[in-house]
Amino acid sequence: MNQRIIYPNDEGWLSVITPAPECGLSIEEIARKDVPAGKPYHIINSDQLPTDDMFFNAWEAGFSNPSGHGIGHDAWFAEQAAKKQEEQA
Amino acid sequence: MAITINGTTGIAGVDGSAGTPAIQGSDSNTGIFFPAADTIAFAEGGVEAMRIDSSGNVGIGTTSPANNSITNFRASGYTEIRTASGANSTSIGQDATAGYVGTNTNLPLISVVNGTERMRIDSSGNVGIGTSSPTSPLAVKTDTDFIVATRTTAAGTGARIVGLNAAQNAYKDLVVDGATVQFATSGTERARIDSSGNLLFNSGYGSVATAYGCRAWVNFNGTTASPSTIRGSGNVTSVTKNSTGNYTVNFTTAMPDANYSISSVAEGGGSVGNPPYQCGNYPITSASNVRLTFLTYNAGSFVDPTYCCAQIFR
Repeated sequence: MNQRIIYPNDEGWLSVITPAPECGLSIEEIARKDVPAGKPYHIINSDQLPTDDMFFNAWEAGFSNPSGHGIGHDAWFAEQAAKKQEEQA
Repeated sequence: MAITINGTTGIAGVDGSAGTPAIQGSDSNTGIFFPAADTIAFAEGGVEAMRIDSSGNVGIGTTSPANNSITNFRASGYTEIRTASGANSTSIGQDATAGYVGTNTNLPLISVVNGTERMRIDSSGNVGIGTSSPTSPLAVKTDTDFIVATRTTAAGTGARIVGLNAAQNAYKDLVVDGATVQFATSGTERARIDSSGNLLFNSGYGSVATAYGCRAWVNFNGTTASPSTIRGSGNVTSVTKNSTGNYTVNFTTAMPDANYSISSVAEGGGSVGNPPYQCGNYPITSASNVRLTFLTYNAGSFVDPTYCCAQIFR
């Protein structure tokens, strides 16, 4: 995957999520799951990131029109458990 | 020919025929006659119905029971009952060592219960249960269209148990279920899944002992400029770079709790002789993800390693 997910973290910096190519989830699913609940995120191509990460902690991005909002791990796992129950019913 | 009756031979002197048996009741064409030397035959309505020949073979519906007998008492001690005198016959037999049921040509042997075929042995010796077309030495078709077969030859050698679809042309799930499931080689247990789902195996212990699995692992590049990549992983959906030298590894399936153990190493790559980076983990508080931090060995400042590896055990 050459796509990345970015979101503003609680420290006021930018977090960059690199998807695991073998995980079986789509980039959208990874974003919903691994972006903390309520945080806006963008899905971008990796070449949109700065090429020098020396000042990584100073990276900024606007999130006025995000790709979506994360639901976080807990909600994701609860969602998956409910789906599994439905399938087994 | 006169009939002789005396105290030594009883009734003697007439051989008779199928149409006129030598011994009759009130029906003149039904009775016992003697068609050849040492042979007894039985007639019904003027037609031979059964005979015992000079070898003791009993034939029903045949005048030459020696090779196609319904009942054949052979000199070797083999006793056989055949269903037909023609080529396609089925026999029930017995000798001093075993009993036998089978066909005498390449017809399949089929077991029927209440009018429905339940099992067959085909001309190749394949046994099918619930299927009339076994393609393996043993093929069992279940109600859910699964077929479990054993093969002595396939891709490779040795016996095997496989799960196949109803057409026997594609693999399906194969479930081995028991209170415990044990695996052995050469008659010795080597591994076991116990009733709690723990995997035990014999690897240097001398007997099976509990093994603890790596629940998740990841090898990634911590720099974003390269750009960052995950070279390989298991049970990991992503790695989040939170700040320089600070990462979160996100699990695909959560750990059972947050009491797992993590081992991690990191290296900057490039320059030979660089000391390894210090690897730290925030106090583990989540079953869903774990934080990793990396610092330079001497200066103690956060750094993005080129090679970051982490393994989680529980």
